[in-house]
Amino acid sequence: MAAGDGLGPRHQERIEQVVDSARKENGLDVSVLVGDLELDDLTQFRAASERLHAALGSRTRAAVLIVVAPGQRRVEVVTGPEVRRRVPDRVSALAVLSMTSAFRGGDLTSGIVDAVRQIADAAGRGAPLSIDSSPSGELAHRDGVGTH
Amino acid sequence: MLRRLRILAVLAVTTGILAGCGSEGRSDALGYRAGTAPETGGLGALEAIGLFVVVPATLLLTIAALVWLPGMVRGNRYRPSKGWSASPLWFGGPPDPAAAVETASAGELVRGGASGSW
Repeated sequence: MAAGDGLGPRHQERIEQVVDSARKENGLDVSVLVGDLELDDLTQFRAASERLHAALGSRTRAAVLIVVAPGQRRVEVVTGPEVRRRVPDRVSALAVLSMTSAFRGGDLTSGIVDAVRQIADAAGRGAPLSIDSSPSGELAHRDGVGTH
Repeated sequence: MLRRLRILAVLAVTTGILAGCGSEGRSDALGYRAGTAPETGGLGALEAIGLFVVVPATLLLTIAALVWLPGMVRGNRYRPSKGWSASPLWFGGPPDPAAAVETASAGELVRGGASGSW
């Protein structure tokens, strides 16, 4: 596999596990999107990430979404209004910081896994969630992500 | 764990080689003076090449292989400068991400979070 060809199966598994454990152990609805967004302009990255967060539907109010764009070298943490007390922006900023330093060194998976753990630890314990979701849904069309 | 094993392997091989080099007895003890062994014409051309070129080159390649192989096997490492061609993956996302994104709009919710770039 050449560089930039995506996450290997073992890496995907690690991310799935940490997302899963945040739900079960912390009752925190975390999801992670890894991929570049279709954008005309990188200044729209935050807006596009918020739209992705909205795409979580009924979960959006209490969900944490981490968007990692390896090609665009951007990372965004978006938190819903009902979860901001458990995951304040200060915590998101710390998670972003640890991700960017890991990513700069070429380690996507560990950066993501550590960030999810940090956020989950900060959120503390909570009743386990059971959410109907695909463990790692692949977006069929790249055009589907980003601006319209 | 793997990294530690690899470092240990490199250390063991190099230590073994160095120890081997240092363990030759003093030539005085064998009854001749240092230099050319008695009743020989010294090193032949092939022997010299073997001793001074082939052996060091083999050692060099062995050690280099021990150092580089694990990284090459691991393969698909992310390099920030090389870009990213894989299609997006959403871990713990909605059941049908493409359709959900198609219909989503950010609305009036005030969302929090943080941004970063590298």
